[in-house]
Amino acid sequence: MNLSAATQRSPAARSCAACSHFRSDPRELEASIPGLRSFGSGYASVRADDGLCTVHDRYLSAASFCASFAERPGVTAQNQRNAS
Amino acid sequence: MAKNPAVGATGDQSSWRELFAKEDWWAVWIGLGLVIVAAILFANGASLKWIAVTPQKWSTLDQVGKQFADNALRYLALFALWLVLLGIAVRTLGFRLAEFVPAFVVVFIVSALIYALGAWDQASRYNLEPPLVALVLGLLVSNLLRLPAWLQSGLRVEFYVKTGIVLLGAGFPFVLILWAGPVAIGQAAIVSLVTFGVIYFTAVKLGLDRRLAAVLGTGGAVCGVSGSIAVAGAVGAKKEDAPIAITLVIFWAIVMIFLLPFVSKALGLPTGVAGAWIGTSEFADAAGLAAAQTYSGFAGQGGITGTPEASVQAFTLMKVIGRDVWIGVWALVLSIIATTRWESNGVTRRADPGEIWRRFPKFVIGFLIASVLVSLAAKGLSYDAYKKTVTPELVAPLQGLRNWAFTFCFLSIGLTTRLRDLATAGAKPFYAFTAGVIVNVILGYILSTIVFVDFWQKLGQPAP
Repeated sequence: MNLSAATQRSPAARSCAACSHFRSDPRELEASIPGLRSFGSGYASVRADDGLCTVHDRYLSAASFCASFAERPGVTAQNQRNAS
Repeated sequence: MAKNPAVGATGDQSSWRELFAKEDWWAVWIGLGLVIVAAILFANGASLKWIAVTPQKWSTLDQVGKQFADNALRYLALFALWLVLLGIAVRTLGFRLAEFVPAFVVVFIVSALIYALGAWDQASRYNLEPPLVALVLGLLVSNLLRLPAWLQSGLRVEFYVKTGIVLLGAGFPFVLILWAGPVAIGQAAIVSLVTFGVIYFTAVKLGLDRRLAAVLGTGGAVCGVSGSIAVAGAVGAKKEDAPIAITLVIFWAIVMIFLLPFVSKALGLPTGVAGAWIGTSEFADAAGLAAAQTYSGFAGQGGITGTPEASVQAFTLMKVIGRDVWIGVWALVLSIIATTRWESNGVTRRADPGEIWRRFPKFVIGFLIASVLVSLAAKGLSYDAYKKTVTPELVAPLQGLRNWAFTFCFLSIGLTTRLRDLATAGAKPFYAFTAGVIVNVILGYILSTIVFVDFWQKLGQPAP
């Protein structure tokens, strides 16, 4: 999709949850955050859907957004299905 | 590997999927399912006690060998029950059964041996309390040997401890929660605010980034690794911030598993008082339960008064009701401060009160419902009748299952804690966190043993 179409979307549609730079799979997080499995868990409710941003190198809420948003393949189709 | 169903989902769809995509909810389904089945059986004159087998006191190896031989079918059925329940959960969460099944076989067998060791009549003489044995054994094995990757699927510390806490609710009269909850919340609020303040302002004074300071502060003040990871996401911390906090939480949590029960024992603290101190000053649920369960084994020794259950009950009130349930509020408040007061991190987010619910530790709901269900089942019974029927037929089997879940957890703590894999924390974060630990332990001791001592002591007294 082109950049103008992406920026016209609502912040929710451009959030980290739909971004290809965002890694929030719990098993991936447990592998990349040392010690998370010892007294915590990637599958815990307290984590919500947070994940790692490979652009900013930060651990972010899935509801965050920024200018570097790049839509993850498959999200558009899923959003359209949800809307219909 | 299978993908977690929650990943990529949005909005309402995500809310529904969470019911099967988070360990918290699976702990509720499994724990409450067992409580409901137990209550139905009890109402019909039956019980779960056949399958909820536990090792009994023994003096010689022949005796313990005979126990296992005589009850082999019951242990096999218990193993099958846990395997099916936990297997369905981990499969839905995205793990491979081909890895989980052999891993759980190992976890169950070693847990059974540790549980049996704890039933040795000389165990307390040699400090062979099951939580400590499980932890030390796990730490030694994981740090001296390289464990096969498939074993990791069966080492789910948080899942086991949450399932155990839901089952713990069955032995927790609801009136006790109503009576003691406000005091626990008050004591926890004082300690949490002071500890967070000490860690946060020490960290900022030492020149650390405010987001790292907040992640460290919540890890020390609220709920350890879970607190750190929740606030790291809420404030948009750097990738390396949460691992630093996690390293410090793990280090101090393991120190406190040994320190708090043995210092409490040396001071002769009643079980309820020691449990409150552990609940105030431990950093993680699993670590605190290991310490509290260890102390319950000290009841009656060397003049230690109070019921064995009181240390675990006081701990749960302090840690789970007093501290854990507030993590969403901490995350929301800190996310607002981060976005409005601190320097930008290049990312935008809007404060959302829905965060309080999203991050709420849902297993607490299961704990409360379990307490209500068993309290309703016992409604109208005299204390004597409760002790004669409800305790052996309904509560004791659920306590047995709870102890199994906790033993799986304690073993998993050691086996997942590989010290060389942890991030390097650095001197400044260590100083800031340690300042909070010192204040927390002293303040927790004063509040538990002086300010609210009558209250916590009363909790541990047997009913007349």
